[in-house]
Amino acid sequence: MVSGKYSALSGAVAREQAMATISNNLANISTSGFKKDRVSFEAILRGRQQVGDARGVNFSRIRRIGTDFSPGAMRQTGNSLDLAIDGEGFFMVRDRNTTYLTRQGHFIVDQQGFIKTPAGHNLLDGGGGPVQISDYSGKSVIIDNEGNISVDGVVESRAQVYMVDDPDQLKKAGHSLFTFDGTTPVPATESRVVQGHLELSNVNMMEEMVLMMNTLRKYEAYHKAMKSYSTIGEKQSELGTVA
Amino acid sequence: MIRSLWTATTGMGAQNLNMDVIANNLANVGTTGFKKSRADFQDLLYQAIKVPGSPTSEDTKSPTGIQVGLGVRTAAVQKIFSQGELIQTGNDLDVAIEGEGFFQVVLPNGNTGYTRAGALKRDGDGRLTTSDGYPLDPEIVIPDNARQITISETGIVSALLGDDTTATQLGNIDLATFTNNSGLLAIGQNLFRETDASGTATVGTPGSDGVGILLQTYLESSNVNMVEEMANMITVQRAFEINSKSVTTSDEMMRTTVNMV
Repeated sequence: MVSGKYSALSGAVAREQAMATISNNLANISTSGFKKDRVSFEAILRGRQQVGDARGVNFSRIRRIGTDFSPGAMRQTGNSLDLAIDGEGFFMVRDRNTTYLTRQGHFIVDQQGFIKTPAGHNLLDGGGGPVQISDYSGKSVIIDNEGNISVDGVVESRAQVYMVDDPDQLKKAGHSLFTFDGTTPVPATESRVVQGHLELSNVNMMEEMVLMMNTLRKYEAYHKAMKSYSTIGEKQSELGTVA
Repeated sequence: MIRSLWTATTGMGAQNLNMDVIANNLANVGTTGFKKSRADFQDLLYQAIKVPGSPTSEDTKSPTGIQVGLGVRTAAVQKIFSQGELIQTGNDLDVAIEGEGFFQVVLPNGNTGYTRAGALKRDGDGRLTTSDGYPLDPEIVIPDNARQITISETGIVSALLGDDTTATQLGNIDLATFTNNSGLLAIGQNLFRETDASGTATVGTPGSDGVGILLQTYLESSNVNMVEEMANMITVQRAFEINSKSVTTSDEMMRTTVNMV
């Protein structure tokens, strides 16, 4: 027998996963360059299967968790190596052997003059090589809208913005990084690099709050359904008992 | 639920640390030569429930996956070395640095410390020291009979000795710069130590080599902007609250489950 009990359970489990995603969005509300995740649900059985085989009972599950790449607000920091991207695109960074994309534009210079993320990934220039500048201590570093980095007025390298055709192909790797297997980033032409700013996370507190309430209440509703099935079960067994 | 509970906890922890950093900045709003800090965060790893690109049939692949993030971590707490405001004090031995660079001082254990707090003093031997009595490096001794001590923009310390009418040069204040200021280790007492990340100090004469100039009778106040810190504090408080709301909600969901039977 197909029971609606399991249908309610599948709904509850899916909401539980949704809650985990909302929690993660909220936890990263101060993570610069963070992009929130959105959960979409789907029914498992379709068409004739649902109507005929399952007699109208269906199951729910998470269809996908997609990343919402809408831009976050910008915050001025005044730090010369804080870079924000106005428009689409990402900075490309590389550790020993893996290349990532990121919108977290918080960079530092190491002693050899390589521009790196705090985690030690090298920022890449237009040619895919690491960005290196000469000793800049005491000198002004100016990064223009195109990403050209000049030290004391001399252009030395470039913080290139890359974009991909289909951002859905990007996979979050943690540490504010995205991996891009299956799609090739190309230099972005429309985007601007903004020096002295950081992009805030695009998580909207109010929106997440509403989603959270929604998730909680739905979760409770599924439980109520499960409880009702349990009560029905009890009544059935009472009926079947000879007193 | 347990997942979202712990995820929200990392969020609360991050905001807690953020608040610690802000509190320390505000506590040092009146500290000469203090440089504010800023906490930067990153998302933690993601748990893949369905890997993107997993096959959905013999010749189709799922274009997206289901990945659930597990929270936030602190990437760095970085010092911001922007210039603080200059305050005129009228005191001959107050020196502010306009531009890059640090005074070098000899710490009691023989190591070199770096500071931008230029409230200099004279110790019993006439040496120029910091407020803690740590002598400048190179050492500058001011004789007892010195009058009208002047410190030039380029760091030359001179004074009139006894009844002289021409100034005698007593020494030079050099400044140290680093490739990566953010890599310096703050050790308290307005002092920094060099680390592998900062690179070794390059010593230069003030006014040249990109090193800042010295301004006598001025002090550099802390670069903490109270309004900015206030705004940050409000954001932190709200972010903390909403993360604690996640904890409550996760808890409520768990309670629903537990109370079902």
